Amino acid sequence: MMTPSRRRALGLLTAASLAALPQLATAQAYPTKPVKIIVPFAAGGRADALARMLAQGLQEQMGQPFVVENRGGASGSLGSDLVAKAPPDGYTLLLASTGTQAILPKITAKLPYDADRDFTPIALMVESYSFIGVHPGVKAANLKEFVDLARARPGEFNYASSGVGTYNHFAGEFFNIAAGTKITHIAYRGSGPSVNDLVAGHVQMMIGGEFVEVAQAGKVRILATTNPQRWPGLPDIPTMKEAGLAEFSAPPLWFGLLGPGGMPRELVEKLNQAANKAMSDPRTVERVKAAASIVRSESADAFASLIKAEQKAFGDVAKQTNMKFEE
Amino acid sequence: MSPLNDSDARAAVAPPEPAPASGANDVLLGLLFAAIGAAALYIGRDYVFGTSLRMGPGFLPRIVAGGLTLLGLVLVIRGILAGGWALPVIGWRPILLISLAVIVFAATIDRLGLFVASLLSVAIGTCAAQEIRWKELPFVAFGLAAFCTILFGYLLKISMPVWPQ
Amino acid sequence: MSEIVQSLALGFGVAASLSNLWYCFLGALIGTLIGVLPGIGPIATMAMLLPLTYYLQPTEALIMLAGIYYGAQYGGSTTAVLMRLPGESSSVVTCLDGYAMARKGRAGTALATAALASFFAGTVVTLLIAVASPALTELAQKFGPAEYFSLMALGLVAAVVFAQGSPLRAVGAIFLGLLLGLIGADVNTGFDRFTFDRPELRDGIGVVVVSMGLFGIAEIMLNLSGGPEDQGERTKLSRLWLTREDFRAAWPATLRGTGIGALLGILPGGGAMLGSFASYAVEKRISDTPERFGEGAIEGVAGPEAANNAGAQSSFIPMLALGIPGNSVMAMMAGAMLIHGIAPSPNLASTQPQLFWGLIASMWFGNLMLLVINLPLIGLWVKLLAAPYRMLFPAILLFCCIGIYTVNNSAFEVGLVALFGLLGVVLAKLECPLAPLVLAFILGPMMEENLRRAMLLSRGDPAIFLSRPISLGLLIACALVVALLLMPNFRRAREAATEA
Repeated sequence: MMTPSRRRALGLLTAASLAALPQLATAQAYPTKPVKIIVPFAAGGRADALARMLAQGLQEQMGQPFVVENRGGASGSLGSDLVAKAPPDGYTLLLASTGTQAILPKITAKLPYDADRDFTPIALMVESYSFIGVHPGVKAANLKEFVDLARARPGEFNYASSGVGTYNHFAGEFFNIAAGTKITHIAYRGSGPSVNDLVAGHVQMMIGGEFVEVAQAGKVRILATTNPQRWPGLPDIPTMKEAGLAEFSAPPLWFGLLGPGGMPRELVEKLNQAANKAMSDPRTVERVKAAASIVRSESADAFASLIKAEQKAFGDVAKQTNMKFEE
Repeated sequence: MSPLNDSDARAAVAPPEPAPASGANDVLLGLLFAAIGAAALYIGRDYVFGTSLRMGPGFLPRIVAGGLTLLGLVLVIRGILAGGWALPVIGWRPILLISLAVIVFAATIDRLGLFVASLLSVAIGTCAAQEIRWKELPFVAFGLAAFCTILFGYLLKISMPVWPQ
Repeated sequence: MSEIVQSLALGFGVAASLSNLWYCFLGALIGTLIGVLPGIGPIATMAMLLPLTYYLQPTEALIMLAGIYYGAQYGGSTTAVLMRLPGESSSVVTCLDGYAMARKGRAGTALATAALASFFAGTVVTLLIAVASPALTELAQKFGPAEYFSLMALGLVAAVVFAQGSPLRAVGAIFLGLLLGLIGADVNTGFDRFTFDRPELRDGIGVVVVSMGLFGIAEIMLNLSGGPEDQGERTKLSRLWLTREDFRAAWPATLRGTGIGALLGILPGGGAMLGSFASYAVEKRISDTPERFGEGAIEGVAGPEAANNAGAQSSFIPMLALGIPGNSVMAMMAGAMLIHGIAPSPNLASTQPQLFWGLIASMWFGNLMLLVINLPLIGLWVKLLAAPYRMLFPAILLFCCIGIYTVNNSAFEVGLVALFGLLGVVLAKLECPLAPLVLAFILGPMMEENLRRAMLLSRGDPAIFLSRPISLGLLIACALVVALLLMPNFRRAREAATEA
């Protein structure tokens, strides 16, 4: 004979397991139909290339097509918004970046989504390397000389970015703050024109990863990498700390996989493992190198706390420099 | 003669031009320009103008919108002076139906997918023809929608919704 | 020199391999077939077909993508001639006289002219790329913000040349185009202008959206509202080939167009799309009979088409020589390289000689394939026009919608096309010229951006525009054009004064 309380407990248990069942079942069976990976930028470019590599890897592992869809516009907020508003069933994913998750929310008041609540971080895919590059005509052989030069002649130097509020722009401001320099920001429409003007010497400095190849041909002089470790592709280039500017604190640029807010835990875990496995495929590791990046395998939680920390760092600098889209 | 004398210059520009169909065209185009320019001036009234050495985001908008308004007014005056009040003839039905067809496609593609959006848009668009052939219409609409769905949805595998979601 | 011959030989060896020829052909064919669907331009076509190339070897992939690009580009010209539908901004100009020729039953001649002019330009520029890439890159590098501003200013002044009839209306059209170009976030400050709080408008309105609406959709509306005789007018076709006089008129225009297009194409950041406009302006300016332009002048097709293709080709130069993609098409090529683990770089020629020279040689093959594919197709395209318009226009309309949607997967932009279609009808009915509007729309944002960038770089000293020789030269040219435009009027005014 069951006591009423025991029956109730059992009933509760059944109810709970029944409630949990569909979630478990979805996570186990996932994916049963094609999955969309939204890239919030135009086709071509680093984010797009990474998304396609990831899609291929996931497709091989999971047996369903992973389709890359480019939804460029408004610095990535259009595509991100689509994912923010999609059901958290794992069939709509976002290839996000530092820009969409940590920078935009700090400089745009009119963002149509909440960067924390509306997304579930799944996997940090790659960390991209950024470098301080100067035009070869600048009379500074290393970072220290450049900082001294820029301090001695305030208002004479310019740095390029691929647009207001981009990673290049922020990194430049981080640099000005750390080095106590007044290097003027010049915004361009995209990375092509900005690198072009750096090579041509119309601007003297840029911080980013877009000119590594150009630098290897001697058209830009790289002084340091702004990432915490040296880049394996250029082992002779010191970090900022090694070069004597430990105060520089811009977090590195990353690209990662996110889903809509409130995705079930099991699904996140499954996708995290699959994405990490896809990215650590030796061929992919090799290809990622061409984009001046390294593959990073982290847990979903570690990824989430990384985003949080970065939002704070970028928010502080945005406040300090009064950087905003709306004036 | 002084090149700065505006009315002289205008008089110099006006006569050698091939005469427009009527002064009404000048007046209407001028009104359109002036209205758009004035609206832009109003919308952009708070944009930071800056100085000519340090231009703000409102610098060019104000100059361009102001110039457009001014040009519009000049056109209006020229039209009135030229006279002639034959209004241009516009058959509105096809124009509105074609616009509607495009807008319906835009409004339905994301939710109802390529097939339905194509079907609706072609059906509406076809009605813009001079004489509507009701017997042909379903075949044209269905045929085109099916063709595009197969071509773009399945052969080219474009990432767009194909069926209602 | 012998080094270049050797490298070219290597390139032709690579490009002429059976598999590469096949992918080049396949790319050009698919590009043509999709690009010729009205409303679908090169960028949409490339984005659509990009995934296909992932499964190929890098060299094959790039050769095929390049083929798709040429094919789609040429396909865009085809629809511009046949239906007044510019697949992309540079074929806007082809709409003017190409479509006028088509309406006079000379669609075949216009298409053949476009094909031959493109092939000629492609051949010349392929050689140019092989021989003079480094030198041309150096020249392009001299173009800083000040030079760009002066170039854009010259373009804007020249836009008045596009006017048919009243210059006052053309100036109005230019101002309207400039205003439309201002929509979006200001590049220099990130400040939103005229966006009505729509995030879709932050990047501005696409050139394709504007030109497709003003030309393509508006043309359908005008055709349908113009009465039955308008709808049947176009079909009388006479011959497909060029007459001796056609050749004589088209040949020098092609030559000039090639030079203009090649030079503008090497400027990163949108130079390539200006080539066809510039060539048209030059042809109309130097012609003894400028009044024929807009009525089906063959020079108005040959010059811009040559410039178009030359620019398309020479826009590869910054990318091949420096590894810097200069426009969105090149960005897509660079993306395809990245996918295969190849970083676009100035050292590409030494690290990947097979790929580098193979790609260059394949450009010539691509152009040859284009000619081989398209000359026989001309008859077919022209016959298509014989289909009753009531069957044709719903298809054109639908392809336009799909084409616009595929560029950014944006339904909003499709809606905008309807708006620009309406604007196009109104402006056409009020006899306002559209080409200056589109040109100003393209030039305006670049001009503002570079003006303010130059002033920022010079710390507010306007002398920067006069102290740099190239900029100064362009501004002097600007003043000359203005003087040329005003002179006849002053003369007439004086005559009128003495008569009175």
